[in-house]
Amino acid sequence: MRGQGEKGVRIPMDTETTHSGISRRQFLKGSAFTPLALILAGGGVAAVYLRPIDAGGFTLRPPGAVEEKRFLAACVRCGKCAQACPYQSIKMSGGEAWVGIGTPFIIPREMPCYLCSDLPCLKACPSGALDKKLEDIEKIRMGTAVIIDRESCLSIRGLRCEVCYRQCPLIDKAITIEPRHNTRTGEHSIMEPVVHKEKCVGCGICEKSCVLPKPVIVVQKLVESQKDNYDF
Amino acid sequence: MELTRRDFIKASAAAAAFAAVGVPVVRPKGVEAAEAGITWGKAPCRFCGVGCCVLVGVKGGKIVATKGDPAGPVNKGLNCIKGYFLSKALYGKDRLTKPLIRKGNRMVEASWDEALALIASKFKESIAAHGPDSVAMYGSGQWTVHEGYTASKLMKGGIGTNNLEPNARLCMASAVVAFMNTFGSDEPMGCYDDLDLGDTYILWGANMAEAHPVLFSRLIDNKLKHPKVRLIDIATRRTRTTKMADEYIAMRPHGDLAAVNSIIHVILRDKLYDESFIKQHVNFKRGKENAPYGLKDKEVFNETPADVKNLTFDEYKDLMKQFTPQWGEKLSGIPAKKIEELARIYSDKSRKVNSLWTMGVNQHSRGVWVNNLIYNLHLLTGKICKPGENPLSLTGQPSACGTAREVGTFAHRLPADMVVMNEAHRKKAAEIWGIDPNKIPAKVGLHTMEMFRAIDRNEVKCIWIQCTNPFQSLPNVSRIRKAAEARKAFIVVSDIYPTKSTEVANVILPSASWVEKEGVFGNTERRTQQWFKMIEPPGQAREDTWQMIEFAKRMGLGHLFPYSEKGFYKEMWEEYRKFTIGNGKDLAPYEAYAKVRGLRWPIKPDGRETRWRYTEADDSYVKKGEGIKFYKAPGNKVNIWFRPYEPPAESPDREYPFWYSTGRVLEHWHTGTMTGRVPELRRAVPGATIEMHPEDAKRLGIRNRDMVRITSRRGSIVLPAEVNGRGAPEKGSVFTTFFDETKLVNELCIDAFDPLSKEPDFKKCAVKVKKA
Amino acid sequence: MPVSGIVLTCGAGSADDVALRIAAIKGVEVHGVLPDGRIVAVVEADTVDGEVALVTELQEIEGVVSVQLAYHNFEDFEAERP
Repeated sequence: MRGQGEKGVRIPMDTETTHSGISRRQFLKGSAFTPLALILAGGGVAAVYLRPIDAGGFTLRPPGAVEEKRFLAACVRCGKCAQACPYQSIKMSGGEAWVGIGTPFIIPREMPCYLCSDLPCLKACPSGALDKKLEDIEKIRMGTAVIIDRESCLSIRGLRCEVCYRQCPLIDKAITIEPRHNTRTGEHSIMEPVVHKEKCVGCGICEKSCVLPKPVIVVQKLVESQKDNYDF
Repeated sequence: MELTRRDFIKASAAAAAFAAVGVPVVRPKGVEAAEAGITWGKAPCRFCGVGCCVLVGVKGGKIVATKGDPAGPVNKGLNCIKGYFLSKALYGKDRLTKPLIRKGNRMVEASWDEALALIASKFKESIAAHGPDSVAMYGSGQWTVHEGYTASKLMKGGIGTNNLEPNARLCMASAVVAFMNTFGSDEPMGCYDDLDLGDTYILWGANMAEAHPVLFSRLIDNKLKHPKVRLIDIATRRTRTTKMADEYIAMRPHGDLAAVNSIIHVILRDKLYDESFIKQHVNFKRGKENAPYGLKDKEVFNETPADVKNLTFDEYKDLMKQFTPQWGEKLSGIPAKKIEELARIYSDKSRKVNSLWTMGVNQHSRGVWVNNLIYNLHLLTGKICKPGENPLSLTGQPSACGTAREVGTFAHRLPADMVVMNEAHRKKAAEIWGIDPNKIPAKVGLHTMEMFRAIDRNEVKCIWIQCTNPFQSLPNVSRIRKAAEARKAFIVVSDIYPTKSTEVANVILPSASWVEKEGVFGNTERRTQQWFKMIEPPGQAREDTWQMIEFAKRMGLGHLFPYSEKGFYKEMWEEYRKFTIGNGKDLAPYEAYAKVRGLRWPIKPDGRETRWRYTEADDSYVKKGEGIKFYKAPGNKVNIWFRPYEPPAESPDREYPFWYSTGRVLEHWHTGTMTGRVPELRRAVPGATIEMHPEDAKRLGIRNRDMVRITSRRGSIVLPAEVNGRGAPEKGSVFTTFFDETKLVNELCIDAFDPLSKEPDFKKCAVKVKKA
Repeated sequence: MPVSGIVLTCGAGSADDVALRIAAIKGVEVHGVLPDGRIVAVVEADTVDGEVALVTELQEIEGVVSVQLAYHNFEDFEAERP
């Protein structure tokens, strides 16, 4: 879908996308009203619509986004973060997002977050939906990368891939390689990429880089740390 | 049963058998049904010098899958992702399918007849007016053996010029010259088994993790299985290899020339050498010094026998006294203490020590010398020709060994270690080729750098380039691009895709690639691997052998290729094989290669391969009781060369304060003409970046992904910065890759080369860096 | 057209040589050589008798300790009965 901006306002252009983000203008002009109306009309009808941006119950929000419920309340749907993003990674959701219509999201497989060190998206947000207290890109927690298909992962199968690892902006911190003996060949090592949730920022560069047709490493909801001791 | 169903059944049978032995199948379960209707054939991988064995799946006349061949001894079913996507590399949308002839600024489609007639007329014209040395051919370490052999016979035996060069001149030439002047014979004495059997591996400027992926996997497995194994990464840049090594030793660019000398000094000083080995096997020599850097056109530097001085061991020891560890530290940046430690490791009798190197040492303005010095370490300590203990010169290209080096497609070579300068060698070649011995010129032809400079000087009028991309890859490439654009020569390019070289061609010929033709490759460990044609090339594309022979016919040289149509490959092989019999390079009969996943030469009389050369344990040329015998070296004695330190051609200074180095990443191959057309590899690594040390970046106000301008005395380029990525150059150095055809990074490289090997130094020149 | 998946167990150190030898036999496809010296292969022949003969031949090869059947497909068996 093409974005046609109002004068002076740059709207992200979607290229080769499979989802249905809409432009701000379309949203304002009401061309999204039909699906929106249907959504508001009743849960039964709206259940038919696909919601690709939050498949798996998770929407990848821009850096610094507060917790999802608060985010939906705090975000004023101004689109300024999307305009600030130099890579056009941040898109704005359409009617399929239900209550989240007009909120910003990222589809890593199309364009991940490239972790601009000055966090322009954050700085542009007027409402605090993206928390300005975040200053260090390594402290971003948009989500956690997870290898969802170990059987298909080429590295785990013993081939030399590990592209996700080598392209990870926090190489050796968010993703490390754990080598182990390949028992099938008997004389090679399997170089398995392992994600470390405490370091992973959820940028999705790994998901973008995965060489398989359907990426086997994807960004999902933040995985929380767990302790090895107990509180009684 | 239909063929398709039978294949499905066979796949199930194999899977079941694997399951029966409790082994997880290479392929994911459930894929057998999808694979019904696919026929599989074997081939070596099209990419690097590791030479993995792959299975190629063909369905409906197209390659639908490639995968590691479980029966392949090199890789046992594994690949890197370049090999995994090999099939896709042949199916880019803009595959060349018709001959094209330049008319003004446009390339116009033509028939093969028209194109070949034009090429022949241009070559004939040039030869008539200016002699056979006014024409040239530039081929490739990615040529098949048959392609190289055809070219050699055509140029040297037919047209009568030695102006035939492979792109291996830019990759392995330094290694070759050192093999010849040390051992009297090209190619390693060890093999990949040494990676499984040794316990100490010293890497000199080699990023094996990314450049030799499956070999690195094998090396790391050895380390995982045996706690004693130690991997030491001596390099100018931290890489993924560094990450898995036991130790990283930072070295200044060009520092290897000093460091190895200092290590030798300690070995001599503390008498850590193997006296009896030296006495039995070694001569000491001193060569020509104060060498130039090839920066001036037509500069000549040769190390003839008259230039070489014989030394006694004592004289050698005296000469080496100056290279103290402190001296070594000053020039290499490696601490003196560490140099002492390395000397102890190299001479440690309880360890099986291997040295591994490729482009860091070879693409070096004193590359031959560094190769010599590394051999010195192994020869002084006697750590050579033993299973698990060898110096292993790693090869870059899939057939730099098999084609360029073994067939000898160089300006000075003939097949099987022979040279054009030697009358007896020319005579033998002429005999096998069935030509007048006076036809093969004794005069050495133009080496690659000079060949392309000669275009600029209007001395080479016609050049035929096959299977390589010099107008992107040569150092200081603007000079020759300008010459080509000024139409100074008639340029013919045979390739499979439009490249930076077809861009400047007069005639573009569409070529068949890899399994679109029958062929043979030879990898790093002397393993010759054959494959059959599996699919038709697209459109009117034809294999390079056909192109050259059609050209030969139009030049009146068709009689040089009297092979039948059906038996072409076998007959040519058997003729070529004659060069190799009885001189330690023995190849097997053609059918033998069709049955197996390659064989390592020399092939023994009973048809078995040789894993270790020069040792009675495995080499049939060495009789029982002889132990180790360097039977290719004069007097069976190899040479330890005294090589001094001489500085690089260009070092950083006030105006250009950074070192500039170039190299590769795992995901892309060379100039990216093939891997760049695989969407998955493109997605993985979309473009070239400039790697910088984080402190340098900070100082210059450059953040990760910022655009940066890098300028040398020869060119300037803008690249996005990569800071804290997969590679970290040392402070004061930057690094980039040459696979991106939108970024001609080699414009900045200096066209200085090793005076003995004529191999350019792609690893060091001086640049300035600033935010763009 | 019977097709079988088989596992050959070989004597110490002889697996590689055996694999090369049997790969050259018509009707035999080697699919893998395992580090412990076992070979996974697929054999096919025109008839069940042919297949038995082939497997017997494999058992006679020097270096082969045993040949075990892992999978047998005999879809056309019906058609072979007189």
